[in-house]
Amino acid sequence: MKTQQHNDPTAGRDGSGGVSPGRVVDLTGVSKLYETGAGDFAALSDADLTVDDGEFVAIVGKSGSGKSTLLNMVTAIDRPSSGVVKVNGTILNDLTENEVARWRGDNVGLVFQFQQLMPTLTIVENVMMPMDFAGTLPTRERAQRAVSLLDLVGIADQAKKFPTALSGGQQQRVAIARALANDPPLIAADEPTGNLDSHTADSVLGLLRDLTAIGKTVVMVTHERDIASVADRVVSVADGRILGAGAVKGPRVGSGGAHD
Amino acid sequence: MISTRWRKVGRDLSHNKGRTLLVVAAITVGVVASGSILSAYSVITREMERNYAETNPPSAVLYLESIDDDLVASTLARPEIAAAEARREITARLVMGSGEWIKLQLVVVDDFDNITVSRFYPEEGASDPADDEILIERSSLTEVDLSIGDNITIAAPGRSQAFLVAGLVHDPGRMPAWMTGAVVGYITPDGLAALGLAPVLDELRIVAVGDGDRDSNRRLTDTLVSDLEAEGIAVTRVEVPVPGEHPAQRVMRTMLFLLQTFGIIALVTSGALVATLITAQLKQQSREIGVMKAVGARTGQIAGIYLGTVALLSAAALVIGIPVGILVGRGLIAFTFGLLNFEVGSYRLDSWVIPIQIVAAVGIPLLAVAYPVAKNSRLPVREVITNHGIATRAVGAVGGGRLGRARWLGRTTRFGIRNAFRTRSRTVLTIIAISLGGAAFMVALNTGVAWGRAVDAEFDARQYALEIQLDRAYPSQQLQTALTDVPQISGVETWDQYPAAMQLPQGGTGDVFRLLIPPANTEMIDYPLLEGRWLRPDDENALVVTQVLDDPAPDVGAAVVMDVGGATESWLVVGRVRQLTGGRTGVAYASNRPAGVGVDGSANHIRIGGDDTPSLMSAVEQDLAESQIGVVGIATAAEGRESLDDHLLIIVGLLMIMAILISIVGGLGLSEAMSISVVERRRELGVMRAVGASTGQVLHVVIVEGVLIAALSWVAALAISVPATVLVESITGNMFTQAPLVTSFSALGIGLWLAIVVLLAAVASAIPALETTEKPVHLALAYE
Repeated sequence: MKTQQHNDPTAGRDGSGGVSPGRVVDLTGVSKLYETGAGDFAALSDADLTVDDGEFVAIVGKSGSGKSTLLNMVTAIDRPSSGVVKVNGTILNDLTENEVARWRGDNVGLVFQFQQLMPTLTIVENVMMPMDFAGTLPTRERAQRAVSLLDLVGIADQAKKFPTALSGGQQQRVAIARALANDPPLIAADEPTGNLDSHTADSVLGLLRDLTAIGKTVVMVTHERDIASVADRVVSVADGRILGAGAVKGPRVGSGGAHD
Repeated sequence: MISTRWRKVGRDLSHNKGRTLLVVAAITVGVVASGSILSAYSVITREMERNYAETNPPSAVLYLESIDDDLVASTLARPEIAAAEARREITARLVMGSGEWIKLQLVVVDDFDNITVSRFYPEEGASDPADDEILIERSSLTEVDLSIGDNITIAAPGRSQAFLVAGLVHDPGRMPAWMTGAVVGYITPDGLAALGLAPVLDELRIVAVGDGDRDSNRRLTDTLVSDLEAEGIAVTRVEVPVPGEHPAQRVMRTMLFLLQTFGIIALVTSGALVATLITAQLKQQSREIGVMKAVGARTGQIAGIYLGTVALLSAAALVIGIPVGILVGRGLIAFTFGLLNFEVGSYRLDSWVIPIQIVAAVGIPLLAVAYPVAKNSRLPVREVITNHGIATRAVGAVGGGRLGRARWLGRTTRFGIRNAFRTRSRTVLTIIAISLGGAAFMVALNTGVAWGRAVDAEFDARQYALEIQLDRAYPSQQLQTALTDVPQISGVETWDQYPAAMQLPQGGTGDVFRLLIPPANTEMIDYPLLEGRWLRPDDENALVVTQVLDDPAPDVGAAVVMDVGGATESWLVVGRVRQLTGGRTGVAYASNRPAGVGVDGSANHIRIGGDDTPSLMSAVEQDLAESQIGVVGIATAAEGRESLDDHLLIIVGLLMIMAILISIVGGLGLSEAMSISVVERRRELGVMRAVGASTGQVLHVVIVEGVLIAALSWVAALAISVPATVLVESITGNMFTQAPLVTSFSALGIGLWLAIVVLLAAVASAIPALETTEKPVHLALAYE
C-alpha cells in the first residue's frame, strides 16, 4: 500500500500545493484505425498534441470527429495503431493492460458524461473506490480523504447517500471527487456536461476550472459552445485530424460553487 | 474496515436477492447432494463392515453328513481355528391361514445361548426357543404378518408341524427377507425332528484365526477337509465366502455407485448454473467493470471481485448445505440400513467428508466461473464503457444460422431465433446446465425401463410353473407316472441337480453352485444368451453357465475341471446365459450327468409346466406324496418376481429422486437464464414497443427465444443421455447381475423432459416480458 500524503485534498503531487513545471501530455503522430465490416476506419490520423502542467485544454468537434478517441489515447483507455503517447513522463504504448490500469490509477482521474457511479456504493464509497484499487493510504484514512474531496466539490453532506438520491449535477461532482481520489496530475473528462442543464453545466465547468488552481491538468472533450470562456486552450478535431489549437484569453468562469 | 469493492460485492448480492438466492440454492443443492452421498458412503461402508464383522461371519462352511459336539470341539482345538459351530439350514414353507404359503429358510441351532459364529441377536420375546417354538428374523415381517404368540404351520419335506412364534431376532449377516423373498426362522434340532427330519446338524461353520484372505481360507479349508477325510469323515461340499463381504454388498455397491454418479452430476449441474448466473451478472455489470478499470482496477482485482462473490456464495451454501447434507445423509443411511437390516452404531463421519465437501462446493463453482470471469475482467475499458444496452453487433454476425434467416418463419420468429444466439457463451452454459439435468432425468427413466425389461425377460424365459427338488433320485418313469393324474399340468421334465464346484487355477475349488442337468431340448427354460450357445443333444460334458457364476468365471470356449458328487471331470463351457435369479453363487446347466454320479433313467429334480396356481401345487404335492416321492423343496416360477421388482424399485426410485433434484437445479437455471435474458434487454423491448410492437409480438419474440434454447438443451440432453444410459445401464447391470442390461430408452422420459423444459422456458420468458410491456415505454427505454 502506498502511503503518499493525501489528506489535504488541495495538495499537489509534491504535497506543496504548487504547480510543477513541465509537459503532462505529449502525443506524437498518433493514429487509430478500427476494423469494421466496411473496411478500416481511421478514427484518428497523425495527431500531435501537447498539454502542459496546470493547463485546461478543451477538445471540441462534431460527433464522430475523433475527439473522444483522442482523449482515450491520453487516458490509455484505447491504444494507438501508430504514434507515441507519452503522459506524465510515461510512454503508454507498450504497457500491459494491468500496467496501464495501475498507471491510470496513479496518474489520471476520469470523468464521464454519464457519471458512471457504482449504484450499490454510497457517495463516499464511490470516491474511496480508486484509493482501494490503487492501495492509496491506509484503509481507515481513505474515508477521511473521500469526505474532504466531497467537501471540495461541495457535497460532503450527501456522503452517505446512494447515487440515485442525487441529481445529475451532484453526481457529476461526485465523479470529479472520485477522479481526484488518488491525487492524479491529470483529469480527463469526456463530455462531463453533456447530460446536464446549462446552469449545472456551468457549475461543473467552474469546478473543473478550479482544479487547475490546485495544480491539476485538465483535458476535456466537450460540445459546449462557450468553452472558450473556461479553457486555456481549445483543440478542434474533425474527421480524425487536429485542426488547430488556440490559447484563450479573457475572463474565465469562476468556482462552480456547492450547489447545482 | 471492509474495502469498497467488498462492500460493492455485499450490496450487489443484496440488491439482486433473487439471483443471489438462486446461486446459493444451486450450490447448496450440489453441497447437499455431495454431502449426503459422502456422509452416507462414509457411514454405510464403515457400519456395514462393522455390522457384518460383529456377527463373526464364517471363513468357510463345510458340509458333512452329521456333526457332533466332539467334532466341533476337535476343530476348535486346532490353533488356526478361532471359532467353530455346527448349524443346519433347510428350506421349508410357512403355511398361511388362507392355504397360501411362503418360502421359509429354517436355521437349526443347537445352543442358542452360546452362539459364536454367524451371530444373531435377540430383539423381542424369547431368545432360546423351546422345541415347539420358533424365532423369526425381524426383516421377515416385511413379507409376512406375524407377531410373537402366533401359531404358525411349517411344512417341511418330512411333515407339517405347528410352531409358536416365541421371539424376534436380528440377523445382520443375512440378506434381508425383502431381497430373498423368504422368511427366516430359527428352531432347535428337536424342532427339526418334530418336522419329521433327522435332528442332526450338517454345516460346520469355522472362523480362521487372523484376517486371512480368501485364498488362505481356502488353503486352511483344504487342510481341514483332508484331515477330516483321513479320519473317515466325508465332506460333501465346501463354501469359502469372500472375507468381510456381506451378501448384500453387491446391492450396496450399486446403490453407492448410483449415488456417487448423481452426486457428481448434481455438482456439475449446479456449477454450470452458477456460471450461467455469474455470466449474466458480468454482462449486466460490464459498464461498472469498465468504470472500475478506468479508475485504476487491475484485471486481477476485477476477477477477484467476482471470484470472491462466488466464494462468498459458496461459503453461504456450505453453511446451509453441510448440516442439511449431513441430515439428508442420515436419512439416506437410515433408509439404506433399514433396507439392509442393519443397525447404525454411530453416525460419526470420517474426517475426509467435510473437507471434500468444502473443496467441491467452493472449487467446482469457482472452476465453472473461471473462464467467464477471466474473459470479462480482461475486456478493454473502451469496449465495456461504450456498451449502451442495445447490441451493436452487425446483423450478419447474429446467430441462428439458416434458421435465423428462414423467411418462412416470419420476421418475429426469426428475431426470437437470432436473439437466442446473441450471447453465445451464456446460451451454451444455460444449455449445459439444463441438458445435464435433462440427461440425468432421461438416464433414470431409461435405466428403469432397462431393469423392467430385464426382469420381464427373466420371467418370460421360464416356461415352467413349479420347480421341485426331491429328497433323492427316483426313476424318471415313476415321476412321470405319479403326475399323470394332475389335469393342470401341461408338461413334466425330469432333471438332475447337484452341488458342484470348479477347480481354481491356484488350487482348491471355487464357490459351490447348483449344477442343473435338464433333458436335451428342454422346453422349460429359455434364458437370453449373452455369449456362445445353448446345449445341444449331441453335446458331451458341455456346460452353459450363468453370468453370476464368478468363482471362477470361466470364459466361453474354456475347459474347466468340475467336482460333482465326488467325481472330477473336465467340461467345456459352450455358452453363457443371463439369469437374474439363481442364487448368490450362480447356476450352470450341463449336457449330461457327470460319470459316476446318479443313476441312468432317474432324476432328483422336476420341472412342471402349467398355470402357476395353488391348486396345481397342492395337486402335485398330493400325488407325489401318494407315490412315496419325497420332496425337499418346491419353488414356483413366479417366486422371486416380487423380490426382483423390489430391487428394481429401489434402484429406479433412487435414480428418480436424484434426477428430480438435478432437474430442479436445471429447471431453476433455465427459468433464471430466460428471465435474465429478457430483463437485460428491457430497453430493447421498450424500443420494440415504441415502434409499435404489440404485447403479443413482444411475447412471441421472447417465447421463441426461450423455447429454442429449451429445445436445444433437450437435444443436448438426449445426446448426452445416450452414452450415459449405456454406461449407467452397463455399470448397474454388471454390479448387480454381473452382466450389462440390454440398452433401453424410455420414450416417456424423453418426451416428458421436452414438455417440461419447453413449458418452463415459455413461462420464464413470458413473465418478465409481460412486466416490461405493462410499463410505460419511457421507463423501459431508460432501463440500464
